[in-house]
Amino acid sequence: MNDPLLSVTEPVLSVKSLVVHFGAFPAVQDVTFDLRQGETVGLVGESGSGKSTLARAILRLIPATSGSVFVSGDNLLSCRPADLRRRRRDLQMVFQDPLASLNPRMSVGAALAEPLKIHEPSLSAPLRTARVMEMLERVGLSPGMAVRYPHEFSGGQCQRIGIARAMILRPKLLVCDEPVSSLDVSIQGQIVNLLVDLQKELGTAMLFISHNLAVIRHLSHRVLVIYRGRLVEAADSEQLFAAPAHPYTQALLAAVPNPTRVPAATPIAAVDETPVAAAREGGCAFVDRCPYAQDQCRLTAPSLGEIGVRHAAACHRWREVVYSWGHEARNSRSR
Amino acid sequence: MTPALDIENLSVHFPNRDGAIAAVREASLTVLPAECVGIVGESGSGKTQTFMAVMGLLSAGAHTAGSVRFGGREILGLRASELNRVRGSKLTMIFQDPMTSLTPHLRVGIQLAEVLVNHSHMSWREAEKAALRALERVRVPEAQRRLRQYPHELSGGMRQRVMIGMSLLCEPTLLIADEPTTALDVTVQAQIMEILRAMRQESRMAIVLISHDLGLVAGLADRIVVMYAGRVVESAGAADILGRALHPYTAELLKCVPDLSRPRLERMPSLAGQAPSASSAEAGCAFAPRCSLAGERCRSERPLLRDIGGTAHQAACHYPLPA
Repeated sequence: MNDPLLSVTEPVLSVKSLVVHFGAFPAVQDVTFDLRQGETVGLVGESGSGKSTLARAILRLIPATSGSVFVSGDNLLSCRPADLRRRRRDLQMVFQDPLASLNPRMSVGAALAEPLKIHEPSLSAPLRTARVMEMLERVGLSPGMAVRYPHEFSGGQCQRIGIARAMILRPKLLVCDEPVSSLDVSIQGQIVNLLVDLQKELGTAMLFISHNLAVIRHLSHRVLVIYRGRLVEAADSEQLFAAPAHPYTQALLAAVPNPTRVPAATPIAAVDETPVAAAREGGCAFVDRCPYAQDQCRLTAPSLGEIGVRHAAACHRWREVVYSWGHEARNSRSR
Repeated sequence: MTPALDIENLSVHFPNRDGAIAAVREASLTVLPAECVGIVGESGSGKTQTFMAVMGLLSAGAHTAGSVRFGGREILGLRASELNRVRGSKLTMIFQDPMTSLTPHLRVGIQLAEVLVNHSHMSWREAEKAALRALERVRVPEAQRRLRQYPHELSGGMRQRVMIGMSLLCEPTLLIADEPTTALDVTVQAQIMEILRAMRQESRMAIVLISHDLGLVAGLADRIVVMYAGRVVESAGAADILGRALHPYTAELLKCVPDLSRPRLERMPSLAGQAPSASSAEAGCAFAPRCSLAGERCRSERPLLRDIGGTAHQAACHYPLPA
């Protein structure tokens, strides 16, 4: 799935040392990554890990404390409001709750026409309508549905409308925040496949946030794992799923229900019991839940370091962590 | 053996301007004592409404027909005061969103104790001790402190554990869990499932686990009932559903269950089209429009649920898949 062109093009989005505080609470800490044209980066973590906060800070929907967000070379965080408004057409978002993110009193056609009215005011009304109809068809809805209202649609259809509204401006960057989490398993694939098709067609760069690893694996070229506001692992998708090097990544993978095997009892450590705000000073944030923790982990926080080709992890004991995962996998195959 | 729950030809209709919405259509299913039955289907398949009818929690204006026997006794259509003799004590239910199931302005301990004061006529002092034990049983850390907290002070996973603890207070014979982990993280989901598994082994309580996620249900259920458009379309032991699904719908649902141990597919599997709306009239099989195997007969004649390949495996399909 890796396109060799990916590595030579300039990044569409370049996030550098981004920090977001809510009062004294550090919600996002020192996050750095790049996203290129046609690339999907998956961002995975539990609720409260800071994944939505990170996405919102990137789009400047909430203020960042420090760091920079470059979109096609310009720092979005230091943009003047007028420039920011102009830039918005390149930066679109799809939200988790498809019904709540649509105006209930606006017909679907009007909801899709609105971004065009704002960002392409020179477009004539007939041309605008043509664009709306074309987009509706592109997301698998019939043009006749333009006169209907959001409540008349199913969750999956509402999400198609949300995607159409985001993509009608052909943005350079699309941020999807849990877009399939509220949908039945049986139709999640429809939405994921639609996003992948649109991305291929338009070359959009996509930041895809989810706690669903099956979905992340399906559409991400690269995966970032976030825990308590920090990236703890970053790797190309295949590498991350084949050789996860952070114990937290492994805990997430082990928790995915699998019908073909009865799960082993989940170690309680895999579940966060302590309030996020009570994160310890010094030391690794994951140490209380970590089966590999040693004295060193309680004393110094590991930094995100290269451990292989395009693979970084923030763990003192990543060698043992990778080895034990491979060992488990070999054992379960031979059983 | 008297089943813990016996649902026979249950129908639930909601009358509206254009006729009626049929949420559940002649559904029959049985839950044996200590058995875990998984109910699987998409949104709108009637899986929740079936059990809202069992619990007497349907919204006003709903019409029901058929029979629901709990421990051999008919409970469908009972007055609330009658139903409350079993509801909340021997017959309990937990929901997807534990926040809206808990009262926001009462401490957790009071909400737990209240159940025992009302149903078991305990004193408040005794009931509070029992509440503490209940939280410890579902592995709530620092249970004593949690009793004095309000629901908003707890995480989603913790709230769901409180709900499970509450539902077990009066030693129910049947717990109905409706999408108990859908709003939770995968790691917390795994732990809630582990707690349900442990509770089953401890208490020989029967569980009905309702979910759209066949993969999740398969991890706990002895038997799986698949619902589509208000009807039961397949019912069999969990292993038979996973290994020898007879109904094409079940087979399609199985394809959608993610398995990280298999290679990544080019297209993410999904079911094409949409489930029919509950107000549409039926001619033939409700799944026919989405079924790749459907023939002329499927569009004109509705298949009945029948035994196929043994009495423990039933499917409603004219052309069941080869076992």
